[in-house]
Amino acid sequence: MGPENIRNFAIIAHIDHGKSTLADRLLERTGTLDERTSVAQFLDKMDLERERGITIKAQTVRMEYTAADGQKYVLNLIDTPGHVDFHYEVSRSLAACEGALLVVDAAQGVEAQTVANAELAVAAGLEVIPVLNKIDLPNADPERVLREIEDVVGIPADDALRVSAKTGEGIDDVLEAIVEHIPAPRGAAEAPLQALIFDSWYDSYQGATVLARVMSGELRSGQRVKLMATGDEYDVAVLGVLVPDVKPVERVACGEVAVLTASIRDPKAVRIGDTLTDARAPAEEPLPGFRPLQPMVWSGLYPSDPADYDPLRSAIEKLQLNDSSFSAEPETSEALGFGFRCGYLGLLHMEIAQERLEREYGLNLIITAPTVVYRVERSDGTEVELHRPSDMPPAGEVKRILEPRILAQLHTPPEHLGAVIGLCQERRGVQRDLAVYGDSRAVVRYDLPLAEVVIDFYDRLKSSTRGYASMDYEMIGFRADNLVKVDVLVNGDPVDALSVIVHADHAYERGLALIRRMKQQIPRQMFEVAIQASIGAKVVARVTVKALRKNVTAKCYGGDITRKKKLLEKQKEGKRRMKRVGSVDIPQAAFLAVLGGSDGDR
Amino acid sequence: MSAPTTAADLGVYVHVPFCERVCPYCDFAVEASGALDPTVEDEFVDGLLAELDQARRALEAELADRRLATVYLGGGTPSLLRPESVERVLVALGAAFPGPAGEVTLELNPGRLETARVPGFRAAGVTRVSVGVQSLHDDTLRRLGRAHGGDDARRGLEACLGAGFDSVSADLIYAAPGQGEDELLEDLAWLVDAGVPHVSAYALTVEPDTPFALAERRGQLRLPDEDTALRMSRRLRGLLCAAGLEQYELSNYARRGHRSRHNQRYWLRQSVLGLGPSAASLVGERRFQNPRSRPEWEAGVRASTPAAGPPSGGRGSRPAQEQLSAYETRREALWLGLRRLDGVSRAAWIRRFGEPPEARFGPELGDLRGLGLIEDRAGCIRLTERGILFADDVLLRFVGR
Ligand SMILES: Nc1nc2c(ncn2[C@@H]2O[C@H](COP(=O)(O)OP(=O)(O)O)[C@@H](O)[C@H]2O)c(=O)[nH]1
Ligand code: SF4
Repeated sequence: MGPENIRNFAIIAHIDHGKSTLADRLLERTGTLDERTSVAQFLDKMDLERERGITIKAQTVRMEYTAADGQKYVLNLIDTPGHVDFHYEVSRSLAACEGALLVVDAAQGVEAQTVANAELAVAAGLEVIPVLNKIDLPNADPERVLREIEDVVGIPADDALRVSAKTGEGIDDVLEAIVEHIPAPRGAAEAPLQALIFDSWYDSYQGATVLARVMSGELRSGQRVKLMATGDEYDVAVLGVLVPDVKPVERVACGEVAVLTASIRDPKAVRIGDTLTDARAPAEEPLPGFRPLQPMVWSGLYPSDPADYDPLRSAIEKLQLNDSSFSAEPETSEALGFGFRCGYLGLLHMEIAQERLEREYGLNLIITAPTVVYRVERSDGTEVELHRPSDMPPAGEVKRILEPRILAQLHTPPEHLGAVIGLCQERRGVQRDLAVYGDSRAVVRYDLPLAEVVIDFYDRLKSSTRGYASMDYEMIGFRADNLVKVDVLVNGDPVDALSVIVHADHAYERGLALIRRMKQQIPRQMFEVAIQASIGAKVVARVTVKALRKNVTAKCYGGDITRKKKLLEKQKEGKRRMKRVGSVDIPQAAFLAVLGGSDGDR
Repeated sequence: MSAPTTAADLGVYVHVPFCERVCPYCDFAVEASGALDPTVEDEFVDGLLAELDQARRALEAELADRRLATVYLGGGTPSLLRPESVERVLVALGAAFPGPAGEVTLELNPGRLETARVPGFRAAGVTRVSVGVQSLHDDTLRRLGRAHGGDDARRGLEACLGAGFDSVSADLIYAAPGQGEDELLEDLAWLVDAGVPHVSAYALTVEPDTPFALAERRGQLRLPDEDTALRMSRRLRGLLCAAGLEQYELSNYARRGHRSRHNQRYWLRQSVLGLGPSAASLVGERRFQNPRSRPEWEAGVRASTPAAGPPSGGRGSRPAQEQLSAYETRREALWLGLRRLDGVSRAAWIRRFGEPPEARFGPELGDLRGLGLIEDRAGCIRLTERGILFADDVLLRFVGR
């Protein structure tokens, strides 16, 4: 079959607008899946994803379809991750397509991710076909939603399809539109191989399994291939197409989507966006757009029970195999013991990874509040990246501190606009633009420090708009601001683990809130304990824990020394879990009050 | 490990697990027995004698030639036993070990019945009574859930003081619910005037899983605040010391010659054999302990699995055993020794362990000195004034991990 009869497309949508259901219907209608298996939505494999209605790992399927014109077509559905945190992965998946179905809930209308995804698709040069879904709903309002697509997303919606993925209405039109409107792949079949890697996963039997779109040349079974980012070479072991199970084939032609294994034992070797080429006749250049993933949000993971360190380590290793964007480095915290500092693409990614660790591996975790990566420009012109505030160079060497910024796009019914703007202002946001569409929708875009968004921003947004607002964001780089490191001192001794970086304008209130929370968790001790928040040598806030006047349980229990000893031991065990700073015992709870994670049994 | 060089003598502790009723703050191994049923009592004493017999056989090597130095009948309420029962126990002990014991203490609750038995106990061979006075104020006693009133306590004490014992001790509880400072001082003044030569004073501690703990959680227990409790302990010490009762241990005060010899054995880690439910023993460097409940203890005695039996042998209700390491022995010697206000004698330590205390505990001791909690005085390491107030912070350094 020639490339003219191939269509590569993605389905993009806001969460819950019906992407999976629609995919399901397409598979069914093309006979790719019989009705029985499709009952369980095929594309959403993992429980966790189903619950959240998102797809974490893109999964892809090849369908065969005989169109109204009597010709047979191959339709490759390339599934994309559904969330903003995976922008990069989404953009790579889209780069493997020529077109996209933009699914919009006909009742709910355009939401933040509708716009974010559509923008990515347009930027990738795709033909975007708007699909109004759920037209069976009594409160569906296709006319309004069509206007929203034109106004808010900014693409023509005259030809929008109207379907119900639930009842199957309009599905044939979708298939016809794919064939009709989405361009066939172009690419030089005779040129050297260039295959875009847009997904991969790992298992211990096969090593890495790779999904790649052949952009030029062709892939053959047994071919010696090279990963262009690293230069590593492998022999293709299994080559196939997904129908949706792997069907082995001898060759995958230009324009098609291949699945392959090549005894790639290093799970980190395969990177999304990298180019696969023929090792013997390599392409001159890799495909554009590859960049290594940069975790933007970090948080500490510690086992609640120190004995769980090894299980945690192996769980983290396993998770890394399946999620190349999740990074972890061992870390020892004075307060929390041995654990890991883990990096994530964003907040949702973090939540998913942590939940998987807890759920799939049955671990109880202490999770510290997320922090962002800062860059510090030194006076000598060099720059360092801070993964934790305590790594800050001495004050004298710091010229300025840069923080990551995001451009957030917030959609809300107009009546909640005030609350949304208030929240963004409070979080040091700078408004970029604001638009109100009719009486149903307002869209405001804010340039915000990521640090202000990583902690409870999303929850606040939801609660202050009664759940109506939606949000999407992208990273827009680092910018300097008047940032200071606030240290926590306990009786004059700094507690490194507790330093935070905040805006100078917030230093006092944040510092005070922090030491107040901490105070509540520090038991009274022999001495008065002063807890201070300071910037450099300047103390900005101070609270004290009054001294205990005595501490003697004078009983001796007759001869029952063992019992007395046990009681003392219990008391001591409580203390042992405390961290001694100077002469003050600080319980873990006090650290957590500041580090702001969960208590481990969430 | 080198053999202990302490005197090769022995103390015996007998745990009597009966109380007329159980006090709401108590977490000892006790059962409410009302007026003790004589059959239950006799069976219990039979059990004690059987246990003594078994222990002697099981510990033949360790106990051989040990002279009986002290006996302590504690509980519970040993004064619920009839004097003849006490006598049976003492006679059996006398037959088992070379003696006679120089100090035989009986804990006595100042109920009317018990007070009437005082002469009987004296005749049975008791040389020292420790009277569970707790308070001389009816309201405080009532809030503590005690069976006796202030007058009962005074009468009991007077009876004991006049009965010809070598020594009489009064147990007091302070910082009890609703207890005022002045009330405590009045009690103390009365005790001093009456000529009581030994006082044990305990700050009320709310132990987990007691009715008091529940009441405290529910906010129903009105304990004096910390500052009041602190003033109480200061004034208590001041008053007793001024009256010539020297504080010789964290909670114990005595006139010269009236220190409890038996209790000092614990702090000095000298051998004590424990009989009865929950009783703990230290014989040589082996600690072991009887089952806490009376039925379990009785079953063990019937199956003749004495507490001191070989650790691996026996069955069912094996008592807990612990063979102490050299390090653990020294740690115990420190935290127990520091409870005595004389402290830990450096010379005795070197004699016993062949090294100075600093050899293993240099950093801890240095730290505590730095905090002003311990000091070196007259060849001893001992608690400072401040160390006495924060004794737990000191002792904790020498237990656990
Ligand atoms: N009434 C109706 N419900 C639909 C339709 N399509 C999807 N749904 C429901 O909408 C919810 C979200 O659909 P799903 O396909 O999981 O959304 P995704 O998050 O975009 O993949 C599910 O409960 C579907 O059953 C439709 O056409 N009509
Ligand atoms: S009298 Fe003593 S042993 Fe008996 S219940 Fe009361 S406190 Fe406990």
